[in-house]
Amino acid sequence: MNTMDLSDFEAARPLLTSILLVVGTLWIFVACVGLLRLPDLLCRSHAMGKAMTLGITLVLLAVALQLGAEKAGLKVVLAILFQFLTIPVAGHLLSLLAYRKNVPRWRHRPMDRQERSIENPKS
Amino acid sequence: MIEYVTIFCSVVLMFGILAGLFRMAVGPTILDRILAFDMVAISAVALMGILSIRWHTELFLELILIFSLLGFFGTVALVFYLQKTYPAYPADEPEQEDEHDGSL
Repeated sequence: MNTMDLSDFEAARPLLTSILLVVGTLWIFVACVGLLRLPDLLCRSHAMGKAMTLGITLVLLAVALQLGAEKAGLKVVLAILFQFLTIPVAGHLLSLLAYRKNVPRWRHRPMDRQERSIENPKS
Repeated sequence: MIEYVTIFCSVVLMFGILAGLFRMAVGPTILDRILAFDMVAISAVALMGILSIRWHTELFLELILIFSLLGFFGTVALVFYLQKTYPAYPADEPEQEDEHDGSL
């Protein structure tokens, strides 16, 4: 029973790896299109911070699944955790710097005045 | 099957690297260029993962770790440097608020 389950997993391993690779690569492609087409630094860091994190996590999961536990070991898990932690931190640092330096935004409308105009539209 | 999948994924990731280099060339501010550098570094990490799947070796895992570490610390160092030296843009005047009709 146990050996049957293991052989089934061995038969299904290339298919699972291929599915994870294609889905992760398509998410990275989404991040590329966002980096090319979005109009603003904050929008671009939005595209990087979420789609890129999901894509690189799926690709590294495919690496872990294809190599197996005895070859990949703990290093793939460490790489996944590192990417999962650092890509949003880098995007947040860039967005914070862009907000503090008042980098021109899409339609040139700063966030503070927009919040103020939402609270009382007369001002 | 997995050979064709790795070829397809490599082509898509090379398009990603080209997109990052294009954004690095035409980016309006230096922050766009830093973001594009981050994108190129992560796409290169994904290419290393695909190569280690294709050749079925685990020798690239240290390379993946070191490359992602270098990309992240490059971004953090540039941001902390620019926080001191990058000149702040002037704030917009309120008269500009009605000029934009919402079109791109």
